Parts: sequence; C-alpha cells; structure tokens
Amino acid sequence: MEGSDSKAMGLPGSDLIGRLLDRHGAALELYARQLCDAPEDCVQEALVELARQRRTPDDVLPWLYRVVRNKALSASRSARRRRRHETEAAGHRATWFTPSPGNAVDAESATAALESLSLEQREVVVAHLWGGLTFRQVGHLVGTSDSTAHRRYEAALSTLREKLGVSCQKNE
Amino acid sequence: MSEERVRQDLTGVEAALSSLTPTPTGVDRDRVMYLAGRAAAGGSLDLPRRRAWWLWPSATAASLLLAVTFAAMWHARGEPVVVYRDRPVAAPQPAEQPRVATEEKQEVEGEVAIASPGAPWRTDYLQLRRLVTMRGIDALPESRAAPASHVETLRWGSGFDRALAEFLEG
Repeated sequence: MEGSDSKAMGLPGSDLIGRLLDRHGAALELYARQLCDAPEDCVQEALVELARQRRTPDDVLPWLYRVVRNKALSASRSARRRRRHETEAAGHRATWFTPSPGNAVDAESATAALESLSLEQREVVVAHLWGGLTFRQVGHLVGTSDSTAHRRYEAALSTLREKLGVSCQKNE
Repeated sequence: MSEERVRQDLTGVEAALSSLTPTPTGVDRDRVMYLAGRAAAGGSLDLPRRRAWWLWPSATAASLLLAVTFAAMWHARGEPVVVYRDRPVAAPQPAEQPRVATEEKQEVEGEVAIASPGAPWRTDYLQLRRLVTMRGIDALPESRAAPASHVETLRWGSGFDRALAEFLEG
C-alpha cells in the first residue's frame, strides 16, 4: 500500500518505511556496520526519524544514508567512551554477507578484504556498490566531491582485486 | 599491464562484489513500524514533551499580544490637550514719587494739559509727568506733543479775576 493520504500530504507513510526497510535495510545496516557496532539501532532510528518528518525528503535514500551515518558516528563515539578497553566482538564482522555457492567471491574473504580497507574507502564502496548511490550522492554523504569519491572507490577496488585475486579472467 | 586491462579487472572485482548479498537486517520490522507510527502521530504518547513544546510558543505569543495591546493604548491616548487661560497681569506700578513742593505750585499756577482720550502718549503719562517734573517742559518730545486742538487750557485764577473785576465795576 502506498498510503494515498499520507502521500498526498507529503508525509512519509508506513508503506514507504516498510518498503525501504525491505529493499535497503540490509545495505543500510552493512553501511552502518562500517561505522559502529550497533548498526540495527542506527537503521531503526533512521527509519523512525523518517516517519517523524512532516514531508518526505526529495531523495529519500541518500537522506536515509546520511541519517544512518550521523547516528552511526554518534553511536561509535558513545561506544568508544563506554568500552574503551574492550575488544570488539569478532562475530559482528564475520557475517557481512550471506554465503552463497554461486558467488565468485567467498563471503568471508570479501568481508576480510573489506575490513582491510580504510574507513573512507569502505564507506564509498558500500554506499555505491550495495547502497546504489551515485558518486555524487556518495560524495555528498561523506562530505567530499564526487570525483574524490570516485577516486576512493577505484583505489578500494584495486586493493580488493589484489586481496581477492579476482580478475576478468577469473570471472570469465 | 595496460590501463584497459586494469579497468577490466576492476570491473570484474566490482561485479564479483556486487553479487554478494548483505546479511539480512536484524532490525525488528514490527517494532520499527510501531515506532514509526508513533513518531508520525507526533509522539502523542509523549505528553509531557508535547506540553513543553507548546509552553514557550504560547508564552511568547501572550507576551507579544500584551505588548501590542499596551502599544495601542499608548497611541490611542493622543496628544495632551492645551488649555489657554487668560490671566490678568498687573501692570508695573511706577515707583512712588516723592512729593516735591514745587509740584503743587506748578499744578496751581501752571497749565495742566489734559489729553483727550485716546492720545498715544497718555499711557506713559506718569512717566512723562515725572520727566517733566524733573527736567521741565523742554523734556517733552516734539513728536509726542499733544496737538493744540486737543488741549484745553484752564486757568485757575481766571474765574477769580473775572469775579473781582465784576465786583469792582459793580
């Protein structure tokens, strides 16, 4: 249901929030996971924040990523203060992707390769590759120009290619 | 390795990574929908917060209304009314003139000029009389001398002389 009444008034309806959660919840959570240890909370709070808006943002997906990012950074700062000497749980990082035998890249290897990237590169890769944002939107999200975002993305892909050993021959 | 080859490798990496599916979200969908609905309703379950939200705007509006009311009252009062009243101002009295012995003699033997009503120099008659008393008749200004037609000359002794003459003749 699109929620005709709420759409007519410009309010983000429950149908929109449900649809966003179904389609982009996993990617949003993966993005938030790059920044903090409680990605589910960040995604949930971002969706509730969207429901609180009196008018649906024009580009709702980049808006949602921006809110998730802000909440993740805030949560990360709070977690650092709270657990300065605690080690992070390894299980949080072991399941970034759903294992599937048809994939060209192993899920755990991909997770490990992504972890080796810098935070700036990881943000760009996740937002563009799994979030579906354009480089312009990614640049706006992380506070850089779109060309800088694109450079970071290509540098990250080069690193991942070396780590994963994936090439066009292998894909073929 | 040529640039074209690198680009193809990057495209291959990109395709391989994009085939990975992120782990399904652990967000509780029902809880999100409940919280979203509550937030969309304006947080009606959070009554104290709503009250606090209305408190300051209401206080500001009330203060503004009060200020506007006072300003309107101040303007409606208008300009102060000016009332003009006639106050009789006492004319400055001349200083008490010392009686001079010669004054009476001059009044008896001299001529007393009585100006007709409306003569311009009558207003300062007392000053003029004082001036004449002190300096003589020459002190009279030429321009302010009364015309001859307006002056009636009285001789105090003329009646007595006429009566004496009639007595002697008769």
